[in-house]
Amino acid sequence: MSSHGHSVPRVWSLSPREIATDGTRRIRELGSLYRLGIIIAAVLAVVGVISLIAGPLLQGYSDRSVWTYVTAVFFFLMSTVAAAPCLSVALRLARGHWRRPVNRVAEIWAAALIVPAILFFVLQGAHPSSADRNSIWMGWPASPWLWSSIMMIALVVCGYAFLYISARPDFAILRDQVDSNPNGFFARMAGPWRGTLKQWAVHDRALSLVGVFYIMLFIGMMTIIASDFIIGMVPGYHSSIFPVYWVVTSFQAAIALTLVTSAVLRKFGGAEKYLELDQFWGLSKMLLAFGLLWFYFWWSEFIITWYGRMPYEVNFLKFMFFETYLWLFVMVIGFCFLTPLFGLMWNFIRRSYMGPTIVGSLVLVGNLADRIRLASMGTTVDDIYAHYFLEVPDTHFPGVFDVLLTVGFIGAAVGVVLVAMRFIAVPSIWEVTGGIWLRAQRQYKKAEVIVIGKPE
Amino acid sequence: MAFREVLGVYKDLDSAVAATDAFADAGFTREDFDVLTNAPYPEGAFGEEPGRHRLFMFPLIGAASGFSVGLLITAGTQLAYPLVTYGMPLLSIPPMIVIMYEGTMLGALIFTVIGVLFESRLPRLNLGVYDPRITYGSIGILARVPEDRLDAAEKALRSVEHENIVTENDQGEIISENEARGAQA
Amino acid sequence: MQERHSLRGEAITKELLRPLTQTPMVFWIAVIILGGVLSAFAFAVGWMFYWGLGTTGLNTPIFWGFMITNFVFWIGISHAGVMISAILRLTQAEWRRPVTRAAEVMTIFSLMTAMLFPFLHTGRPWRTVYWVFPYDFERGVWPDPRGPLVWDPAAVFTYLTGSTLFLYTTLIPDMALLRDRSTGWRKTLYTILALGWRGNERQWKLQLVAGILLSALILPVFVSVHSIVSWDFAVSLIPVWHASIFAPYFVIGAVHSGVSAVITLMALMRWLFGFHNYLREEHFDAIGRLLVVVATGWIWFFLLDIIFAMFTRDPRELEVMYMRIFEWPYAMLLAFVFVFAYIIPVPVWMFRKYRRNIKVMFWTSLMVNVGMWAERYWLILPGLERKFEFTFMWSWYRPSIVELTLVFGSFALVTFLLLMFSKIFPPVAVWEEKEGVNFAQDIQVGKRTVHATIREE
Repeated sequence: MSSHGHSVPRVWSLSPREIATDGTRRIRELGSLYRLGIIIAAVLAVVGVISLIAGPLLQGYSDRSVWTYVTAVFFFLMSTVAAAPCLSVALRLARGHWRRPVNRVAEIWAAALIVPAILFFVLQGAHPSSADRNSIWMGWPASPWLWSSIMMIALVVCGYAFLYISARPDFAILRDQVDSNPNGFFARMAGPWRGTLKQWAVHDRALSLVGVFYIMLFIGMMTIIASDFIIGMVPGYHSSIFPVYWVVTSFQAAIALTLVTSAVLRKFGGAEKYLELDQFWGLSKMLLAFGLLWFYFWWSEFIITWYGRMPYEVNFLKFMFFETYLWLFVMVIGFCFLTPLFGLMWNFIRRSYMGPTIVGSLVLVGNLADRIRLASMGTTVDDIYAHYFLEVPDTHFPGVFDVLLTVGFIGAAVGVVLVAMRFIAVPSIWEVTGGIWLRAQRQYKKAEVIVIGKPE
Repeated sequence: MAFREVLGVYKDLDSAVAATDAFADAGFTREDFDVLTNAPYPEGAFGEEPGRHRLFMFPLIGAASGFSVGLLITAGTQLAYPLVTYGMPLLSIPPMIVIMYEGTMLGALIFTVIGVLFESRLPRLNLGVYDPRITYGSIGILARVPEDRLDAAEKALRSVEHENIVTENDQGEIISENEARGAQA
Repeated sequence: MQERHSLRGEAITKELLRPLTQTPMVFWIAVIILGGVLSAFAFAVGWMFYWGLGTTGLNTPIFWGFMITNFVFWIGISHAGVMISAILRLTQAEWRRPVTRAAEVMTIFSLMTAMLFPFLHTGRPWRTVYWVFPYDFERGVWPDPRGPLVWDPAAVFTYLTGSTLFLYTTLIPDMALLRDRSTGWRKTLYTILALGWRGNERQWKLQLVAGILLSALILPVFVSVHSIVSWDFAVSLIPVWHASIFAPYFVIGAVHSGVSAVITLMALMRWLFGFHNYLREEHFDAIGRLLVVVATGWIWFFLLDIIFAMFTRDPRELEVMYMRIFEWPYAMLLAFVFVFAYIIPVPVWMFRKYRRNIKVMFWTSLMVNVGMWAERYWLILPGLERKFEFTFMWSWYRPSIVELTLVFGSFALVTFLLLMFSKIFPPVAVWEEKEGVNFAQDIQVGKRTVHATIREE
C-alpha cells in the first residue's frame, strides 16, 4: 500500500523473467490436488455419460421431458463455458490493464466447448422440425437441424481458434523453457513463432478479429437456441426480448465463472501474485452492473406481459414466474439480482477476495436454476403446435438420472479445463509481461502514484 | 482562542510544496493549512491524507425519502379515488414500482448534490482570505492558525518565493500585500 | 490512446473561454437564420393553438403523429450526454474531458425540447394541469399512476432534474474561474453560480467523488427514461407495438442517435470555436469505435423486433408488418433506416482513416440521425393506421405544414439554445482539461515515449 491509499499490485514489480519462470513452473509442477481434481472430474464425466444413456433408455426417447435436464445442462454450459471467452474479448477491446491476468482465466473455458457441443448434437436428435409451428426458421428446409448445427460447429471452431491464437506466444515460451523437443507438443503448437514485430502485429490483429467474430457467433447461436429450445416450444410465448435476456444473463454467468475460477486459481493454482484485488474489484463492478441488467431485461418482459393481460399472457406469467416454477424463479431473482445488488453495492465488499467470490458462486447457482426453469418450460408443454395454452402446465421435477447427468457434465467441462491447464499457462505469460512496461510507480511531489500508459 | 487566516500565493507547484515544508518546519501540522488550486492535483501531492466525508450517506437518505414520496403518491392517489381500470387491482404493485423507482432516484440525485454542497461547505457568502490569481494558475497555501501564531505562519509562508501574501486584520478586513504595494507606488 | 496538446495553464483558459469573448460572423449568421426558423415555429404553435388540432394531419384513430415522433426522437438525442459523460467518468477514460460538458448541455436542451412536444400535441397545453392535480376537485379524481402516461412525465422530470444538477455541479469550478475574470452583470451571475468556491482540497475531492457518484446514479435513470417512453407504446395492444423488446430497443436506438449527435456537435464546435487542440481526431476515432458496437447492437434489436413480430403468424401483426416493409411510404422509410443508420455509416466507421476524418464523421453522424428520425416514425405510425381490425376503421396519416414547421423548429431551438449557452458558459470544462494536464505523465518504453496518466481510485 502506498502512502495515499493506492494499492500497488505485486505483479507490476516482477521482471519479465520472473513472470515467465512462474508461468512455466505452473505448467511443470502440478500437485496432487490437481491429479485428484482430474480423477474426480473423470468419474463425474463417466457418471454423466451413463446417465445420459440410461435415463432416456428407461423412460423412452420419444418422451420430450426426458431431455429436460440434458437441455438444462446444455443451456448452463452455453451460458458459462461458451460465454466466458466473450468476456476475454470484451476486456481486450476495452484495453484496460487490470484485465491482463484475467483474460486467460476467462478464455481457458473455451477448451471445454466440446462438452456443450456434444450435448447439442445429442439434443438435435430429439428436436422437432420447425414446420407448422412458431419458429424463426419460418419452415426453411432442414431447419432447425442443419442450420443450427452449422452455427454450432462454427462457434466451437472459432472458440478453439481464439484460444489457440491467444496461447501461441505462450506455447513458444513453453517450447523454449519446458520442452525443447522439436517434435513435442509445445513446439508443434508454437510453430515458427519467434516474436518478431510482424508476428506480434499479425497476432494482435488476428486475436481481435477472431474474438469479435466469436462474440457475433455466440450472440447468433444464443438467439437460435432461445428461439428453438424455449420461445418456439412454449405456445403463446413470443417475447422478442428473450434472446437479449438470454445473452445478457449468459454474460453475467461468464463474469461469475471467471471470478470463481480466479479465486480457485489464487487458492490452489499458484496465481495469487497475478489475480489480486484489482482484478476482483474490476470483475465485481461488472458483476454488479450485470446484476442490474438482469433485472432490467426481466422487468422489461414482465411489465409488457403483465400490462397486456390477455388470457394467454396471464397463464404464461403463472407458468413462468408465479405458479409452476415459482420457487425456482425466487431462487433466480435472489441469486442473480438481489445478491449482486445488495452484496456488491458496497465498495469494501467489491474490493475483497471473499465477497465477489461468494456472490459469483451464488450467481452461478442462480443461473443454473434459471436454465433448469427455462429448460423445464421448453420440454414439458404437451402441444407445441398450439398458438397458446389456456391451462397452466404442471411443474416438472428431476429424477436421479437428471441430477447425476447435470453434475456429471458440469464435472466433465471442469475436467477438460483442468487438462487444458496442463498445456496452457493461466494466467497468460505474454499478456501479463506486456503490461509491466506500461505501468509505473512514481513519486509525484509528496505522493506515491501509479502511472498507466496507453500506447494507442 | 480565535483563529485567523493567512494566504500565501505561489507561482508554481515546486514553490507551493516548498512553502508547505517551511510551514511544517515552523511547527505547524498538516491540519493547520489548506491548498487552493484551480484544478485537482493527484491526491497526496501536498502531503494531505485522503479526506473524510459523509457524502455517501446523502444519496441513501435521499433515496429513502424519494421512495417514501413515490409510495405516498402512488398509493394515495389510488386510494383517494378507488377506481378499477383495465382490470388492474387497486394498489397495483408493478406500475407503482415505476413511479417509486423514479422517486427514489430523484431523491438520491437531489440529496447527492445537497451533500456535495454541504460537505464542500458551500455556498459561502464571503470569499474571505482569497486571491484571484489562484484561478489563473497560482497555488494558494491558506493557513488557519490561532491569533498568537499568525506571525509565525506568515513568516513561514514568506520564507519561500511568493507572488502575494493575503491576511485579515483584527477588524476582519482583507489585506493584500500586492495591493498595498500598488497603492504605495 | 492519448494524444496531447502542449498547452498549459492560462493558454488553456484563454482558448476555452474564447467563445465567451469573441463572436465570429458565422455565429451571427447562424443566430439570424435560427431566429427566422424559430419565428416560424412560434407562428405555427400560435396557429395550431388558435385553430385547433384540425390544422395537423391527426385524425381518428391516429392521434400520435409527427409531434410524438419528434418527442421520442429528442428524448433519444438527450441520451448522449449521460452516455458519454457518466460512462466515461466511471471508466476513467481520459478522452472524455473535452466532450462531457457539451454532451451534458445537449442532454438538457434536447430534453427540454422533447418535453415541449407532448404539451403542444395536446392542442390545449394549459389543460395538462389535470395531469398533476385532481381533475374533479369535488370527487377527488386523481391521475391514475397505473397508466404509462403518468410514468413518462415522472421519468423525464427526474432525468431533466438529475442532468441539470449533474451539469451544474461540474460547472461550479468554472464559474469561480469566470467570477475572477469578469465584470458587470457577468460577474454578478458567475459570483452567484460559483457559490463562493475557492478550490481547496476538500472541495476538489468532493467534486471528483460527486462526478463518480452522480454518474452511477444517473445511469439507471437514463436507461429508465427511454424504457418508459417505449412503454407508452408497448403496454398497449396495438399491433407491432406490444413487444417486450421495445424498452432496450428504444434505449440502444437513443444511444445510437444521441452519440451520433455528439459527433455532429463536436465537429461544429471545432469548426465554430477553433477547438482543434481539444476536440482531436482521437476523440472522433474513439466515439466512432463505440458507435460501431452500439449500431450493431441496435441492428440486432431491430431485427429481433421484426422477426418476433412475425414469429406468431398473427394476421394483424403480419398485416402491419407487410405494410411496414412493402408499402409506400414505409418501405422507403425502412430503406432510409437501414441505409442511413447502418449500411453506410458502420462500414465507414470500421476504418481508422475515416474515423479520424472529421468531415466524414460529421456527415455520417448526420446521416444516422436522418435514419433514426425515420425509424421513430416507422415504429409509431403503421400500428396506429391499422389499430382496429375492421378495414373501414383503417386510416392514413399525412403531416401538415404546421407539423413540419414544428419539427424543423425543434432542431432550430436546440441549436439556438446551444449557441446561447456557449456565449455564457464554457462549452468545454476548463478545470477538467487542466486536471488532465496535471495528471499527465510519460513512460519510456525503449525508444518510444508512451503518454500515460496518473490513476486515482
